[in-house]
Amino acid sequence: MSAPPGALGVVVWVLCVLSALAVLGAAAGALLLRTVAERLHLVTLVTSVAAPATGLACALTLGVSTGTAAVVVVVALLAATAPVLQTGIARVEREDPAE
Amino acid sequence: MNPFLLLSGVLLVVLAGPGLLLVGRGTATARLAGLQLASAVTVLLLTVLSVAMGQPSLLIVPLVTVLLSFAGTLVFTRLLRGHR
Repeated sequence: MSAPPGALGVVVWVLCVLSALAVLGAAAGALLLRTVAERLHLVTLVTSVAAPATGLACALTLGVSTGTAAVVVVVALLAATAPVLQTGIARVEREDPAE
Repeated sequence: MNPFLLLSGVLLVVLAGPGLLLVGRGTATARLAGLQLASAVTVLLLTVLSVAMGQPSLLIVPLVTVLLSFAGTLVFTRLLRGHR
């Protein structure tokens, strides 16, 4: 499925490029940064910037449909579960930094 | 050119390169942080591929993946805390 024609297509392109840049930046940063806390901050870039941008691009392409609803649920779940996991991982790291 | 195919290519490269490195290197907690990053990228990849291929019915796959990766990572954190 390609991008819709016209201005909507431009918006979809911009959102997809923004998402790609965010994911690339997060991955490069995670490779460069050494501590777990810093890496956890970079995961936020994926779940809170790239995921909503991707979801919006998909929603604009699919229109009002059950597919859009599924995309919104996926993005919402990704954004909602990430802080819980990051807190859990950070707590493990704080309690036992050597591990 | 399809923006979703371009994005899926970027996500695939990130997953196969830095993702695998982060999951396989460092301490157990660092690997777990890498696993979370890889899981988020995988969910995005599956979503974008479903839309790019024009198969919205396949969106159930990232929906299940995000739930399973959440539970799995939580189990890993509990396991690591138990090893103290």
